Amino acid sequence: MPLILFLILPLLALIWRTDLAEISIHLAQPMARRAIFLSLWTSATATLLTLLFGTPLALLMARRRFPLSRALDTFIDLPTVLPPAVAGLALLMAFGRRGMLGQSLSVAGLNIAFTSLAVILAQLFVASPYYIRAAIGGFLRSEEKLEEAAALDGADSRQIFRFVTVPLARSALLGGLVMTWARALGDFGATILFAGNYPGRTQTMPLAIYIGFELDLNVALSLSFVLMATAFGILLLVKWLLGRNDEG
Amino acid sequence: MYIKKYICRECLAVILLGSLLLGGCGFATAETDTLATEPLTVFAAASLTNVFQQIAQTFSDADEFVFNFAGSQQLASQLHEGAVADVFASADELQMQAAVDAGRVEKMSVRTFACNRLVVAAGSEQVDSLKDLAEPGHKIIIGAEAVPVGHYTHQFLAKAAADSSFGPRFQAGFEANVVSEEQNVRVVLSKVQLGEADAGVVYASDLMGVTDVKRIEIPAHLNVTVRYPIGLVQGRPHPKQAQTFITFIFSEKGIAVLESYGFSTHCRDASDRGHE
Repeated sequence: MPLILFLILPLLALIWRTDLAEISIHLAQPMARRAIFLSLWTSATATLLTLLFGTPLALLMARRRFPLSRALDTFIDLPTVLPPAVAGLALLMAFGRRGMLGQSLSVAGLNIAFTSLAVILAQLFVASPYYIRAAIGGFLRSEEKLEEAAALDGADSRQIFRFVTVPLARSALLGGLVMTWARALGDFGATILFAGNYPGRTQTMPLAIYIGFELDLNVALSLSFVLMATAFGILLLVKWLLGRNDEG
Repeated sequence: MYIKKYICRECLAVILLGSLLLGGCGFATAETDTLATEPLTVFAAASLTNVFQQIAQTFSDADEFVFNFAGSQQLASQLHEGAVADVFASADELQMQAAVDAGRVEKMSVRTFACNRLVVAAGSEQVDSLKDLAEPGHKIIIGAEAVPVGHYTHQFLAKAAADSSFGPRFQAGFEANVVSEEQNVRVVLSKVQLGEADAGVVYASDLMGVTDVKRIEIPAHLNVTVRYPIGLVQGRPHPKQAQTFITFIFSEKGIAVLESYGFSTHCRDASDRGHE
């Protein structure tokens, strides 16, 4: 009971200190507006990329046992437990201008650091494992026997995926995707280290809050309120999706 | 089976909520209680990191100090929000004034103890002179506007824009090359050292002992004099030690350490005003 109060109190305090009447004025400021817009489109892109590339990976991990699959499984979980600053440094070492891949990329004319692409990569790195993990769980739960039965009935592999595998894992996939989006929206450490901080280009909402804390506390509070309300909504959505799954 | 899974999702939800809302925004606020045996808590600007650690060692056993090094504006905000400290050393008179206005630093105790100036740290071979910085294609990192070093960088640019040999085109070219506004001066230097950017504007003292970047001087008439004020925090747990520490910084030994770290001390306030 004391712990639940401890968890709730700071959030209430944040709401209490936020000037709800002026929130729209604060959010209309260029710094806040650009941060919200940037956060929305980068996190949406990171989530879409996660869906496209994470789904086949999760299916592979759930259906096949292969050498090193356990090690691979651990690597997928790693970004979720690493401090985001470590993720940011690791990304710099890989994709920075003097990084392992970054050198050849910049020879090819592709500079990632300090661009919105760097923001998306940072979000993808820290957030996609949430979806992959949930999707593996979902695919493991949907029984292979049903897929085999569908195959016996003459369904091809695309039809099986579309009409059997995905519907059975649907709520897990949706739940994971929403978690990924929420984590991408909230990332601070990986983004500020890897992508830097430039308004409109790499300054997402969490960065604007951090810098705004020093520049204008009221804008920072308003942005925090928006992020908190969004996160709350997202978590409710996830619970509802998971709850529905458990009942059915 | 289902119950077990459900609980795990719950854990995940709580952890996620925590990391979403609080993650990465943890400010290292050093606090001490009122026991006299507790270490002296010093809030100091990020650019003072090395020199203050050395001063602490010269002064006495380093273990008797708790340092909170961060951007001055963060420290001023933390003081404003009630953080407990003994001494506040800022890289910016504005932030010291903010702490005084908030009633957290004793106005009469504030004095300038050191000065610094801006230099350009260049990591790229293509950047050789100040004017190169305005050439297209270079990546420059500066401090954010709210951070003292960023604030001073904008002053330098304004002076350059008004100068006949640089002019507004220099300022425009320079600003177009800025790729990131970092939250403290140390990050600016680190990212230049990493090679992520071609150049960054930092303090002269930041480049003391740094060999992997080039140092490009900014002429005095375009440069700014960065004054470092130090003051006693209101309600400090260790009034005597705090005063002794400040007195030491103004002593010959303190000055020697400051100068060996690239700070100039000719601008410091003449006398130790102490408690008035």
